[in-house]
Amino acid sequence: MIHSGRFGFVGRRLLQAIPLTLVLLLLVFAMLKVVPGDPAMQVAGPRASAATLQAIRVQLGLDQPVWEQFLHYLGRIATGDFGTTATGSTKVGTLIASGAPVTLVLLAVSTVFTVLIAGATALLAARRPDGLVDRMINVMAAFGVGVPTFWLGIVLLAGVALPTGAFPIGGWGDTPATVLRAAVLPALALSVSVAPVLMASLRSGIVEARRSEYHAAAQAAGVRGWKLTRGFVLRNAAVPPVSLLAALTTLLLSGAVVVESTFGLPGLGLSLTQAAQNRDFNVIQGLTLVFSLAVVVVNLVGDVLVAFLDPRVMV
Amino acid sequence: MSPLLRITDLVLETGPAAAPVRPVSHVGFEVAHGEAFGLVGESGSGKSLTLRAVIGLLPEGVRQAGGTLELERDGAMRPYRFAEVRGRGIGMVFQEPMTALNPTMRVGDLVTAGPRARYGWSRRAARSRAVDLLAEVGMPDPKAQARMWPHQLSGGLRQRVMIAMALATEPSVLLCDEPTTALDVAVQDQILRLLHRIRTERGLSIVFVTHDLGVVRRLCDRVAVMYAGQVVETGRVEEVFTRPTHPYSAGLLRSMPTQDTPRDRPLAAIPGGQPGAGDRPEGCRFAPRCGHALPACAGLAHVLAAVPGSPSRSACIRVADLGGPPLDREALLSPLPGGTA
Ligand SMILES: Nc1ncnc2c1ncn2[C@@H]1O[C@H](COP(=O)(O)OP(=O)(O)OP(=O)(O)O)[C@@H](O)[C@H]1O
Ligand code: SF4
Ligand SMILES: [Mg+2]
Repeated sequence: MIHSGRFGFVGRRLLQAIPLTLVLLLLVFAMLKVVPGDPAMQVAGPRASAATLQAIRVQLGLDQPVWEQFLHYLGRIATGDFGTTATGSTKVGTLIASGAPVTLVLLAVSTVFTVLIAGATALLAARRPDGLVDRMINVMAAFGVGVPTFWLGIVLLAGVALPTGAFPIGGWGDTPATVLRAAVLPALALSVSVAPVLMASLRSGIVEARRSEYHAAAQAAGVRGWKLTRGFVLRNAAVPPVSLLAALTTLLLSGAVVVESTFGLPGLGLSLTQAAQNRDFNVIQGLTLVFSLAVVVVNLVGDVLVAFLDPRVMV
Repeated sequence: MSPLLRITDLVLETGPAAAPVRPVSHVGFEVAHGEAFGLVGESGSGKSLTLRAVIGLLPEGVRQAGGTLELERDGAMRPYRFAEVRGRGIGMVFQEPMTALNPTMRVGDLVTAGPRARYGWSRRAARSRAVDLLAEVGMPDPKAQARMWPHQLSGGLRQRVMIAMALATEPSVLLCDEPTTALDVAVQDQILRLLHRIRTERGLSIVFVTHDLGVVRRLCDRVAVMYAGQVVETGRVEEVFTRPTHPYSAGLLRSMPTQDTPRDRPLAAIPGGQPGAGDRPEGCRFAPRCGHALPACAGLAHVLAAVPGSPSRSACIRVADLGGPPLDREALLSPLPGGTA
């Protein structure tokens, strides 16, 4: 009965994600409709005759009613057809497929760093609330949030990658080992701005859990050491940070766009920067869709994780 | 009866070490094997702090500045370290079952958290033990309830879970801090009966903190009355309730409603209020509110002395002059109502 509660909750969340995704698709589709200029003119060139323009409109389906165009768009997306880049040389789908692994690895490594940094500093800070260590970590956290990611990236390149030679000066790898090594510094640059937010939330959760009656009750029953920390502190303190981490994904994504340019990583973020410079609308549209779908998925996973950590949220 | 738990000269401090405030000063009491001991007093008299000090779970900012805590082991009273007695000898039931049960753990896992940590029980072995314990504390459907979350249970059932959690480690003393205050009257009654039954069945000692004299009367054998961080009177419950030997206890008893008290008649309250931990008068701390006070009371050192002609001990120097007929508290002396918990 309780299990069905949890799985029922997951099922309901999945169902709720469907209309959200449709709205997203509609918005991304509408993006192209509000772009100034006639798409047919862009294809045919400014000096094309009216007849040619009309023929191209028919070819592009622009003579159809808008809702039919949307259905057509849905069909194309479903088959992975995002159109071609402005130069016509590459399919946008191919571009996404080649960039996605880079961005995914970057985000994954960065999430691991974020969790490790936030976890370790939160535990340290919570040892003595308002003590010296707590205050020092607090100051460092404020600095971490404030420091611009691109600047930190340059500092890491010049201050770590260059002198030590342990990390590539930008660029990506082609074996798992070189890929991981290439991901370390950019992921670190990315984590520094996100980890403090997570740390603050985790720290106050830990302090609160340690002051709680259930913590005292567990101690009275003889629970102590790591079992006490894991079962009666971290488990409770992790709930707000997990949903926060999901919400911070947007921050991580926009950070990835910056970091990929700074480090020259061939990921989706770099493609987006370049597409924005070239006014390549198909690419922008495709990437916007991928990014927003990623946010939807991550929030879904976050909700489910929170539900497994804290059964009270299942309503 | 042989002693099981002995607290001597317990002093608790807060605030800066240079100018400490003492919410609890020189409190002592002794609990025998199988005995139920009540700790009563107005809000702020230091009952909860005293109880928490027994198991070393003082709130942040409060420290033990003196006193000896001893527990009987192998036939002798021995001072103990908290790590030795938590989950092994001393158990504790908290006031708010809502906040004292970890909301992220299933009831069954919570109940056996102590012994699993202490004795390394496997989860599987712990499961069946949890169901047994839940049955012992009167959960209607222990198997199903072991798989539930605390928030899915009513307040009364949660308090039963709390009691099961404390019993899981087979303590010889159960510390109870107002375990029924947060509950409805009908549920309070069930929990009191449950504690009474468990105590009888297990031969357990209980230290019961409450401001409800009726509860003390029903559950306890002996009682200590606390005022402003000190014990002012201690003795057998029948004695203290019929022939109090301290004006504060007498006042508390007079302010207690009985079945015969007409609803519309206001209860006799003790005038004035209890002094805070920071501004306590010299000498007898009850003097500003006491109708019997003499100038000498303000210079009095606090001593719980034997009372001539009474088995109780009192801190009042005028105890011999208090005299008067015994309080008519027969209505309070009715035995614990029958029925099973
Ligand atoms: N965490 C704390 N920090 C500092 N002082 C405290 C703290 N907790 C309690 N005190 C002080 O100790 C006094 C006694 O508190 P305690 O909780 O033991 O009272 P109590 O008798 O249990 O009262 P109640 O019936 O309200 O529960 C309080 O009046 C307060 O001044
Ligand atoms: S010692 Fe004096 S002031 Fe204190 S209770 Fe007794 S009579 Fe009253
Ligand atoms: Mg209290």
